[in-house]
Amino acid sequence: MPDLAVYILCGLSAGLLGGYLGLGGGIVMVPFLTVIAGLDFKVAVPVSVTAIVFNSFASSNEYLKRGMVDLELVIILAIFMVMGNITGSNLSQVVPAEFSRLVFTVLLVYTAFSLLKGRKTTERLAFSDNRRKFFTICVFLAFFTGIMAGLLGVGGGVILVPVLYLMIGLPLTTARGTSALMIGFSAAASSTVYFLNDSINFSVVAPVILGIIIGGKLGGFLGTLAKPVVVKVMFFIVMLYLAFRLGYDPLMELL
Amino acid sequence: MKENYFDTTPLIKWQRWSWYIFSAYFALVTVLFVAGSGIAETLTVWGIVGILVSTLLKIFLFVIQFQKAGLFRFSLLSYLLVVILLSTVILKYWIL
Repeated sequence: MPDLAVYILCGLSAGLLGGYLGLGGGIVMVPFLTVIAGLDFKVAVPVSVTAIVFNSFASSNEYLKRGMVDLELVIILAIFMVMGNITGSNLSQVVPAEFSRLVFTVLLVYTAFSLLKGRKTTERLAFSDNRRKFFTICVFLAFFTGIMAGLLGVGGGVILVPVLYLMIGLPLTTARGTSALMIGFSAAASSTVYFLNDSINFSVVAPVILGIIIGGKLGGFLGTLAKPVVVKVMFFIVMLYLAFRLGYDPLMELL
Repeated sequence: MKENYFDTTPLIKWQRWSWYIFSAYFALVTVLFVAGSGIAETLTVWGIVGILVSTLLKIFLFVIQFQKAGLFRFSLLSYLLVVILLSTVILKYWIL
């Protein structure tokens, strides 16, 4: 019973962050499940990717409704990202958890600082389409993102959105929408691999998903009440703490 | 003349209803976990299978809509995405 409450809290935090700040859930779920709930890193990752598949139903729908998804790009890049996900998820069987934890720590610190710094919200007025020019590199980056996402249990939006925005030249909101829909397919590939390898802890998945549902709704509500700066600073501190706890042991072993 | 375009309405409806159904489903499963019911874990397995199948069917909606929009190359690519997603299952159960 206390465990269930902690799992719900993990999902709630991920949903809250997603609903309020537009961050993906994996970057919060994996360290929360590992550090706070005390689960093994390799148990936390499959739970996270499964919850991400569920979360993508709601997150991408908002962008679809507003016509802010490049559907052709979704299909092309999803093919390569899914292949990367399958590779990454299978690699996680052989890659030591300490290595994955260290890579995740770097990703967490990067995300925490980008969250605090904030993104430039200036939207492009003219649509610049560089998809032919940067096709090969985008395909490679989609594949690479897939590997990292499958290995670390994250969606991959932290890499995808800058690729779509800065390289392809999509407007920022369309880049986010396109990424949100793609993540649903790629996380499904990872989840399938983990499911077939019997790596998913079923007693953790359901409460985490319930937490995401509540957190997502709360995040939307919080957006009307709290100042973004307060929440950003709060999550920045939490993420740095999680990064420290997640990376300390593997780093000490390495040194 | 009727213009062909990718209609996102079926996709939006599919995702919305999937979210509603699986939200209610996993809320119920969590209650069963709290109550200590033995069936909760089995129901979670089927819930995950449901989410994955729902995602797969979402790609078939892409196929249909791309065909309706006359974008046949993209409908073929959507089929390819289905094949890649299913390849893990095929490899696990029929080949390896």
